[in-house]
Formats: sequence, C-alpha cells, structure tokens
Amino acid sequence: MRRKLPIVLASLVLVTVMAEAGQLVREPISCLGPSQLYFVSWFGPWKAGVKWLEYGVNATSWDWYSGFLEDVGCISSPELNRYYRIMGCRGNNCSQQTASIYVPSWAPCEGAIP
Amino acid sequence: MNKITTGLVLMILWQTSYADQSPGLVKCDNVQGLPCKLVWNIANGPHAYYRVERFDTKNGNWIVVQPLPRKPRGVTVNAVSGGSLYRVVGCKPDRAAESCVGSSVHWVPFQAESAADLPDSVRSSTGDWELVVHKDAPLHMQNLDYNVGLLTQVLDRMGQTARPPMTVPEYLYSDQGPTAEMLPDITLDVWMQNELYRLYEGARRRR
Repeated sequence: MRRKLPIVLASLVLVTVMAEAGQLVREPISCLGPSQLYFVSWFGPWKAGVKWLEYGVNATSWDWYSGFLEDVGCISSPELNRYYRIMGCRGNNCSQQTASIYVPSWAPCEGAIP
Repeated sequence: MNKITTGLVLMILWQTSYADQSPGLVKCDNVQGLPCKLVWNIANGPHAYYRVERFDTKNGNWIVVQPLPRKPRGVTVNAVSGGSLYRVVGCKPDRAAESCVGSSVHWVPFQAESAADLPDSVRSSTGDWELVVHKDAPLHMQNLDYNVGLLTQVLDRMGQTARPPMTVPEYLYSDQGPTAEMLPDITLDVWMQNELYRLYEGARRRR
C-alpha cells in the first residue's frame, strides 16, 4: 500500500491538471445528403488570460488563426485538412495548450457509405 | 461540359498537381477494403533484390517487412497490417543504399471494429503534441482520428526532407468531396485513403 501511495497521489495531480485544461472540439453541424459538416468549438476552464487559435498542415508547425478568444466560442467554417489547437498565455508565459484536433476535407454521414 | 467530364477534369488536375515522379508505386490490391496485400511496380529494373518496408515510428527508419521475389511487379503473398506506411524498394546486388530505388508510399489504414479498441488520443514520442480521438463521434470518424494520429507520428519522425510522394488513391475526390457519380465507389476505406492522402501530401508540400 505504501508503494502505491505515490502513484495514487500522482494520478490525483494529473486528474487535477487535466480538469483545469480547456478543450477544443470538432463538432458536427448537420448532415446534407451524404456529407457531414463540422465546426470547431472550445470551452474552459482556462488558466491563461489570453488565448488564441492556431492551425497548421503539420502538427509541429503552427500559424495564427484567430486571437483574443472568449472563454467559450466556435468557428463555423474552419479551413479543411488542418490541425487546430488553442494556445494560452499570461504575459510572456504561454503555459496552456490544448490537445490538437484534425478537420478533414470531407466526411460522410453515419451510414451514408458502405 | 457535363458533370462526369467536369469530375474527370478535376481529378486529372488534382493528380497532376499532386503526383510526383517516382520510380515505382505500391498500393493495396483491394482498393475498397481490408485486408490489404500490396501490389508493387518498380521501374528502372530489373534489380537484384526487392523488399517491402514499413516506416517504424519508434526508431524513425524503414524496416524490412517481407522480402519479395525478384520481379519488378507483383502482389505480396501475405496481407500487411493496418496503421502503417509502406513502400517497396529494389536494390542492385551490392545492396548499397545508393543503388536502391523506392516506390511511392502507401498508408494501410487501421480499421477498429469497436470504438473500445481506440484510445482517447495519440501523442508524439517527444510529447510535443497530442491529437484527440473524438470518442463521442461515430466509429468511422474515430477510426479517421486514430489513423490521422498514427500518420502524424510518421510525418513527425520522417522529417520534411525524407518524405516520398504518396500513391494517388484510385478514386480521388476534390476538396468539395465526391461527386454524385463517384459516390457509389466511395467506401469507408476509399474515403479514409482520400483524407490521409490530403493530410500527407499537404504536410509534405507544406501547402
């Protein structure tokens, strides 16, 4: 039991850190014929004061997409075939970064194609 | 110009803009589903040795998966596993790396039959990025997310300069998605090949 205690404590710390992180999500708008349309939304909680949205064709090199984000928001027509993430900063300290998501060029509605 | 002609013109334009000259190509024998046996066709031969290679994301290099008969074209005896990038290489007798020619590369998708078989996210080996698998999405979207994550790991480990062109999918649709005429040919595998082709070529060319 004594051996397991650090693991339990580390897990609690990890859960706390994860719970504080904001999220970026790809969400379906509607199904038109066989095609599913998507938008990108985000929500907190956020530790960072200033947040901006970045996108890229690689998951390792990023361009600015939109700045001074509200705590909750969305973009309805994201650029397709791109990775997205939100970077958050307080002053010069950019410590908060969401997990990345990917927006495909086209997606079928569920059951629309075999 | 009718819709079919327009579609064909769009496909030719797309293929012209994306296809690079490669001394050969490799792709699945069954374009509309798994399992996948690889079909290869290598020019500038004959070579002394042919082999199937898979890109290993752990070590960041190509590893031999199957030696092939001494033929510039053929089909592998065994199916290859999904979730990996493959190429076929032909080499001169001395096996020197400079004597080898490589085909274009082909991504064989991983298709989970249950969402329970897929993780919540895929991470880079260095911890630089984490890519979400949307667990509340339909299974085909989760499969796409997971394959995007695995292919992103490959791109990450390859580096910008060592990325061979990807084999152009058999049924390639435009940025607007498949036309009505193409839809009967679009299976989940064809769809995923299209999306992963765009991802790979976009990253390779830094569109």
